[in-house]
Amino acid sequence: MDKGSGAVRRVPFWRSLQTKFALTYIVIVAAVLILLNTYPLVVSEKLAYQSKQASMLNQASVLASALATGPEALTAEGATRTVELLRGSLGVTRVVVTDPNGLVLCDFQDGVGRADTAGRYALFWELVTALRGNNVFRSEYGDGAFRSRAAVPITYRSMTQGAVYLYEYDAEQGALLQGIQTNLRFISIVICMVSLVMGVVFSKALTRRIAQLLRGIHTVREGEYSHRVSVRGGDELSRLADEFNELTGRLQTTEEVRRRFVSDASHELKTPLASIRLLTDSLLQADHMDGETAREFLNDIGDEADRLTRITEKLLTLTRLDTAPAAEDVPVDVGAVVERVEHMLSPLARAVEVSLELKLQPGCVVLATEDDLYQIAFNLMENAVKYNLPGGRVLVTLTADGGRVVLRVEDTGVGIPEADLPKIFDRFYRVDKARSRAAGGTGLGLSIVRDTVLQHGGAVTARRREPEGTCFEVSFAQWNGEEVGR
Amino acid sequence: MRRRIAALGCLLALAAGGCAPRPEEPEGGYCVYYSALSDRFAPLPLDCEPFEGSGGDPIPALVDALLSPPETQGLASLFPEGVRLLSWEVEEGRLHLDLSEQYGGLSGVDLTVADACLTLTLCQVEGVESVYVTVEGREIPYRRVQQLGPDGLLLTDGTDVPPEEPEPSPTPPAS
Repeated sequence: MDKGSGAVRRVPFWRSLQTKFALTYIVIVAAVLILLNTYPLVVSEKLAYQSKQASMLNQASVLASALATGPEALTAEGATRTVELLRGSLGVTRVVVTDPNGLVLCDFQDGVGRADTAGRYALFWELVTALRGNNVFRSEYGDGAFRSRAAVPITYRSMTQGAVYLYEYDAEQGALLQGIQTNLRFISIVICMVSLVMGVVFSKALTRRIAQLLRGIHTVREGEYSHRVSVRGGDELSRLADEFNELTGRLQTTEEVRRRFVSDASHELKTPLASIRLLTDSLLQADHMDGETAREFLNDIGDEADRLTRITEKLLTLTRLDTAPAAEDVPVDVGAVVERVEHMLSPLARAVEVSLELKLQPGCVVLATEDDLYQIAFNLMENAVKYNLPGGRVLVTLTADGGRVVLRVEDTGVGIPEADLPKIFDRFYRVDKARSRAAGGTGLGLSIVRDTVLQHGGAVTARRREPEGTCFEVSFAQWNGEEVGR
Repeated sequence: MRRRIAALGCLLALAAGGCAPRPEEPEGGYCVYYSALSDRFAPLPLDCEPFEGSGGDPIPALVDALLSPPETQGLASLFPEGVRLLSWEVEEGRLHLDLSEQYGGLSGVDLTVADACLTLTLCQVEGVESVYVTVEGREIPYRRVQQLGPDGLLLTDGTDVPPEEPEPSPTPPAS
């Protein structure tokens, strides 16, 4: 894809998957067709060869036996007589009988005796080899016919008296073989054409879905996260499409969260900055402002600056949770951490007339970092104090049961509406914005709690407390004394 | 100037070369026949390889080549070791070769193949129509054909057909 062009780059024809699939398919089919056109023919030829070899050598041997009748040398007359007697049963094209030197004694071709070869030396490869004491058979197939030759020596008591040579021109069996060859060729052409069409169709069907996916990826890359691809079928490609849609969905969610976060963060940072600007403008424009009012304004500017600091610190904490590698977990006694928090929050609780009550079971040890546990307990307990009513109570309970350590923080405040409960861990989410700001809240405390708890493999829930207030519950796996794995 | 002299020299040299009588071309175009029986795919029992003549009398040179082992793979000389050409003479188209006694050790079809190699090779020489072979001046008694020409050899793969007989001349009507 060209950078910035926004268009899907065309894949060259010879590099396209469709071409590769089609070519692979065609090559496989071609290989099968080559095998189909050669193997049966080779086997048929071999079978015909073996059959002819057995038959012609047998015929030649029979004739040679008939000719070897005694110790006296073969004569042309005797040989001709014998061949004429047996010629009918031989069924070959040519019969030649020679003396031991290769001199032709008789020569019959197509049933007719040949006079032109009489008294000449027959220098046929098979005949000469037979006169040297070997039985010979050779056959070749070409031009639609088998040409077979057999020769055997005529021996009488180990004495070579001559040789018999048979030649057969078999167009009938050749035609049979040629028929098979023609049929196979015809079938191959049909298969070839069908496979060519099928290859193109199949590869097109396959690559069409890939192209569909590619277009989907391109669209999402352009920023349209709501786009989904629809690839039919239950195969790997449709699975891939499902996974892609899932991934796109997550991307969409992440992108929405990011946008909302940036928007919220900008808004949260803008509010104190606007207040500071307003206060400084008032200070600058008021010519005769008394000292007390000016101090009051300056205090407000300081408060807004503190708020800005808190927001940025918490944003930094969240960023650290998102990006920084987790610190090494160690066994931490949660009860001791809660006591430290209680000690820290006591002045605040007293100031707003809220009582802190702790019920801590000893031996509640979990694997985490002390700072993170402190942060979790502090945020939950501080919220419980801040958003309570004068005279209210904060109940902190720590228990260990069934391998889990549970920290429960309950308050007797106004509580959180049921509809807001699922959103209270979102960044910058506030149930009562005015009250939260008044209490110095940033809307990030519970987000930090959730992210920190999840980082240590724990879980956090929030629910309404009966008859009033809210109950937060954080649970971790209890440390059982084993070695630290992380 | 030197270049012009050199170019003139080259032209003169070329002209002199063109006018000089051309050297005699070596005797060639002959084929020496050997046995091809050891080659199981050979169509014929004999095959030949080209003969590069030395320029002298072709007959002793061809006999020498026949008695030497061939260069082509798959061919073999069937002549026994030690066979020598004792004398030769061409008379009225007949080449009389007198070979040493080792040639007499050949018999049967091997003798026929050796005779055929001699006949087919030497009958290529102008004026030779047949070959008559003796051993130490005597004929080989058990050989059926003592004088052999190419016509006496049927060198085919067995697929040859008989020559067509000439049409008989029409009988003149009886008067």
